Amino acid sequence: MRRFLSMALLGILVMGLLGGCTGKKQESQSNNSNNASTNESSDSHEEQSLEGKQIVVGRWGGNDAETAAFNQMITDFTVKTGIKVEERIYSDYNTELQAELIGKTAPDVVYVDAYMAPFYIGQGILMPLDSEEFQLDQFYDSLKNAFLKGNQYFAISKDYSTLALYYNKKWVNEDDIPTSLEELWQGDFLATLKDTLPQDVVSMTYNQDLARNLFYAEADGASVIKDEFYSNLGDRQVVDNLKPLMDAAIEGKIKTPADLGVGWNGDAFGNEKTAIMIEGNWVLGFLQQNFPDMDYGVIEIPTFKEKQGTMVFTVGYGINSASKEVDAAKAFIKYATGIEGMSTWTTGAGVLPSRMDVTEATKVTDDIYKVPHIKGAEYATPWQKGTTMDTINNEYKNYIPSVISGERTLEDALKHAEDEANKTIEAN
Amino acid sequence: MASKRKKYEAAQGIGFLSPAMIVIGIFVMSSIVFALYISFHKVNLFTGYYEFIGLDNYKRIFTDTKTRIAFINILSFVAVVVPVQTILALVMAAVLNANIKGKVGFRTIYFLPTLTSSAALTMIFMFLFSLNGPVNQIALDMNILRESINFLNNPRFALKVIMSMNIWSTVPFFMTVYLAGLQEVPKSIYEASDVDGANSFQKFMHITIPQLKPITTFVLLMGIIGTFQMFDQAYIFSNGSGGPENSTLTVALLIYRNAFGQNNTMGFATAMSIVLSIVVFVVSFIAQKLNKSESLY
Repeated sequence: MRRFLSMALLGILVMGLLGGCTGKKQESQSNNSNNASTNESSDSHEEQSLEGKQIVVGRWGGNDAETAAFNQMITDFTVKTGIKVEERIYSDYNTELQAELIGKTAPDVVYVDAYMAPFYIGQGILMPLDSEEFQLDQFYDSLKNAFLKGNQYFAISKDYSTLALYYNKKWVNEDDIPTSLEELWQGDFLATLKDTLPQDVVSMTYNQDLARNLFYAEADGASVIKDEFYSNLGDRQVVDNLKPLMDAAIEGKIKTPADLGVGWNGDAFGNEKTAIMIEGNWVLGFLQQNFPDMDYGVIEIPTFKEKQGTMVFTVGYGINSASKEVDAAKAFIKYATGIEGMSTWTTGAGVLPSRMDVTEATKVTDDIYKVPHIKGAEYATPWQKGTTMDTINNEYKNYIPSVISGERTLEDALKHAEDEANKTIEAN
Repeated sequence: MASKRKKYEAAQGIGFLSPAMIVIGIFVMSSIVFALYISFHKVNLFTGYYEFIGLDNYKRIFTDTKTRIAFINILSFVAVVVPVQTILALVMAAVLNANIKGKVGFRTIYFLPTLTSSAALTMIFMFLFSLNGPVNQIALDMNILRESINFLNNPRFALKVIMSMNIWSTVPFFMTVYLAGLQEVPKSIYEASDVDGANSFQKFMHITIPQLKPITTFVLLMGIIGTFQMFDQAYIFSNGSGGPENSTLTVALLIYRNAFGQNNTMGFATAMSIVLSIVVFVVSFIAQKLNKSESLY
């Protein structure tokens, strides 16, 4: 009896193991039959040969509005082409995607952040895309060129964001805001404003991150990178460019969101802990959703060194070069970055369209909050600079706090940051 | 007949063990072997480029200033956090094991921090220790400080904030382990010591602590392993940079930075993780020897 029982148990175990495998097979078979039925019911005449194909699109999670807009876009796409789209959503996007790319299990279509694009292109994991096929003549130059290497494009910009200045109308009058950043940081405006604010509200928040600071760090032709790879943070001109911001921070006129005990500018601004912030248009949805009664204004960032400046961030769709469904993947990108798909996505998600014709068609310029962001796109500095920016920015974030706490001079801190970054870059 | 039966039993045993062995073999052992393999190479896993470079990755660990800072940081972190959390957990468990009113309620409340995710916990501590946060406010109100300290942005304080956060969140778990251990201490020893006229402190020092040695070994080992691998708190705290001034740079954070992002130095990262595991092993071994838990049996 005992012998029988143990044999039976062993049998169940083995069956269970094998069952696990066959279960998966069955699932995929039933998926196939589902595809087949979509196949039959689809009335689209376009992309006939691609009907019933399935692709995986990898992206990061967004707010509710973004998720809804993305889902709407893929539903429309499936109805139109019969191609099924499976979403794969990552929380730590670049780490998880890199692991999957190495493991050859990455999605067919992936989000490519312009900042990471040179690295991914350099690794040969993105497929080159034809500029005519994707109507790149309709895209803003800076956005399409973010994914350009040589004469080849490797991803198609899906939208973009720029930084602008937000102020709380309860405390700040637009006309009083200085027209240059030098005046804003070095003049009396922020100190005077502080006197009129409740005790726990600061005049303005800022970020210790090159993703936000690069455009004034590089004002007047300065560059934070030399010889393509190496850090140039200690350069005289870069130091001079960053000085007004750092002086304001040392004097306590401006604070970081972390100083106020919150995670980011949007939180500080919405919870009325700061009167002014420089933030991207992604904050609009956040403010509308969480602080619908807030009265605020948005203007272009004041000039720096007599020139307008801001940062532009863009993300594109790229095709994994190991994808087995290249045609279906191309069809998806064509749709998502075409007039129809991009209109659905940008109006729903509240982001800015990378195509000029979609900008016109969706009348996004009627939105007074978005206008300063759109204008910014003309003169913005893209957040992308080679493949060593990670290291350079890490050291920047590492040493700037000591400048604010008064333990180092800006010059000394940036020189240290430069040396440390270059040591790492050389060793790699 | 007997040997047939033995063979049969062995087959049964292997049969039951094999699923676990297969899973461990594929997901644990093979990755360790692979990590060892690539630690001797310059690799690009995207393109499949492997170049044998011998001990270069290991040599770099001893010359790289960043790595040295990371190891010093994590060693000081372990040196502070592990003893403090062990002693606190033991004392709290002893107190909660005494016949005090509402001890079940206290146990529940004390256990709560363990249930919070470390990411959420980091955000809470960053709020508590922020420039205008409650810790500064209370210290200012009580005239302990004359002006707010920027705990998060000051290299002298940043790691200490993470230390206190780590202690606060791990003590309850170890306290629960100690509480369970305390149930096993024979009452008769305490009764005998009562007869000899021992006071509470003497009982704690000469009965409770020696009796709990095996538990202490477990707590020390888990504590050492956990603290050496500290990553998420430092990552969130410093926004991935290990700043300010490398003060929160831990070995795990440096491994992550070398393996992912734009660096792509996976060979160096694996070499570092192998050295880290050797250090963890050695420190754990020493701790176990110092505690001499087996001497009780």
